[in-house]
Amino acid sequence: MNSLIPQFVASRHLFALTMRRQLLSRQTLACVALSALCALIVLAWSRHSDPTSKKLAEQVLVPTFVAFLMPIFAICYGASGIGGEREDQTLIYLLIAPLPRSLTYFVKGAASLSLVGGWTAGTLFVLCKLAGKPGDELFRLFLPAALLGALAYGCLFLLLGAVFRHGTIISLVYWFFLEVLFGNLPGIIKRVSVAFYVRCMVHDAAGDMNLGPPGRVAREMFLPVSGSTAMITLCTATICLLIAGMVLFDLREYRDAS
Amino acid sequence: MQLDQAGYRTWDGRRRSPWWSCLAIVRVGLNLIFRRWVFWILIGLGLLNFLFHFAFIYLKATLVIQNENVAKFLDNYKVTGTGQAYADFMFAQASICALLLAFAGSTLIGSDYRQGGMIFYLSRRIGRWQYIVGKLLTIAAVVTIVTTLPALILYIEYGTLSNSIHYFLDNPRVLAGILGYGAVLAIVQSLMIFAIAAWVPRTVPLVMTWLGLFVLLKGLADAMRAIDGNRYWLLLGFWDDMHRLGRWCFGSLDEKRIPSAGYCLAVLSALCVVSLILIVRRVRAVEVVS
Repeated sequence: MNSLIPQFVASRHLFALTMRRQLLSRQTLACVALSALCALIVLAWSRHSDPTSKKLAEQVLVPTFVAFLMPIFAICYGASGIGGEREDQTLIYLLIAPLPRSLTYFVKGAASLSLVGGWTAGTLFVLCKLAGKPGDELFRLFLPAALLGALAYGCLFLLLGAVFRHGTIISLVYWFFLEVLFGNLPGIIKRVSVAFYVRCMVHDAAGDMNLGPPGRVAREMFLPVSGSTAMITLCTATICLLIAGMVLFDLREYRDAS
Repeated sequence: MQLDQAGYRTWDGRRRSPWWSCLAIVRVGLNLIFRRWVFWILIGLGLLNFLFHFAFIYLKATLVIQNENVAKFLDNYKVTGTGQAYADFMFAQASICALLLAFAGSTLIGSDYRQGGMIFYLSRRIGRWQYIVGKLLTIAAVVTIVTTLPALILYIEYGTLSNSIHYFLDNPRVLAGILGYGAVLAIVQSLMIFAIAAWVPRTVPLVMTWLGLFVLLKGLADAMRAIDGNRYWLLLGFWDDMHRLGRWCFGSLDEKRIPSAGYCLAVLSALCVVSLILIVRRVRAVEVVS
């Protein structure tokens, strides 16, 4: 019991330090700039004739927010959670702290995931508000899927950042090849991508809008899973990835720590 | 301690122009990238598309001998020796190249700012222009390896597998197009990634800014165009501007369609000038810390 209190205090400090370092950084400025660009797209879209919720989801939110901005936020704070320490050569200070490695990873992960979740929810809220009435309706439909997707992405990129030296670039390669390319291929291969489950959750939640990929063939080849299955998959993936990261960070020997 | 004891000695040979140092910077830069296994993974993934086209051209060449109708059927898929096919191939390669440049920008430029490489380079007998040109040539070489070189190999393969040299004689525009589109990609992308990496040297924000410029500006361009149908808004999408200019090099761009190649060239030139100004302002031997 006596050793738990100092560990808790140290974890709290590490959490606060990680949040502060991640938030007060150039990547936050990049996030603001990208969100502002996205907001401009939504503002331009809202001036179209006959703006509807279905069009907003299919033309703006899914291709811009779900497919691009959400994974980029996760790369921004997830991959740099441990990867940033390696890049700055400050990982040695993290490793010599009197905390179990798995706990260090968990705390860093919790701070990074909080930022990823916060940015995702905040940006989605702003985008939906800017879109007007169609956006108000979509916010509550997109929020659970976006949050779960962002957390799954965040855990994955945190793990990649901890395992590989160029974690950011590996994350980028994963995002481009597995999410963008495989995610758009017909058949069940797209089930390896996080974006597929996010889309399934959104399509399921907005059942009466008849959302789906553009084009008849693409719709027929999409082969969605139910919303609840997608939710369970995303939750399971998030937890498994976090545990895998904790175990790997605990076992791994970092030769480039300083 | 005397200087000669420390290993210093005078140089009596003929001094060459400092511009030769650009080649040394290119060599060192390429070595730096080639040493990383991430680069080879990206190159491998990038070459998948090339291998597909390579095999398809071979297949078509074989089928032409056996059955010309099947070859005509394959032509519908544009995996042929036409200019449009090469333009589309290079466009696909350029998207993989964007990922590679995010890595190259971080390794070649960003690390010079983060780890003091810039001060090392500029403490030699070279000016900042030699440094800038050397780094730009390195990035341009990476772009050429991924886009222009595979397209040239496909062009040679297609011509060689036809029964005569008429393909080369009849399609000089294709060769000019490959070189022209390659030059557009190399010049614009190298200047842009250098400018971004010089101001945002850390990997994560660099990647975000680099990809955001290409993906979101295109989205904004499409959204603005859809308001009143004004196609000049499409000029905001730099990626598509490069593609249009590339297609113009191949002679497959519809000149009546707005925006024309001239507008794209003007926008990309302005972008290059802005990038160059940003680069020159940032490349300094001494950093003033306030």
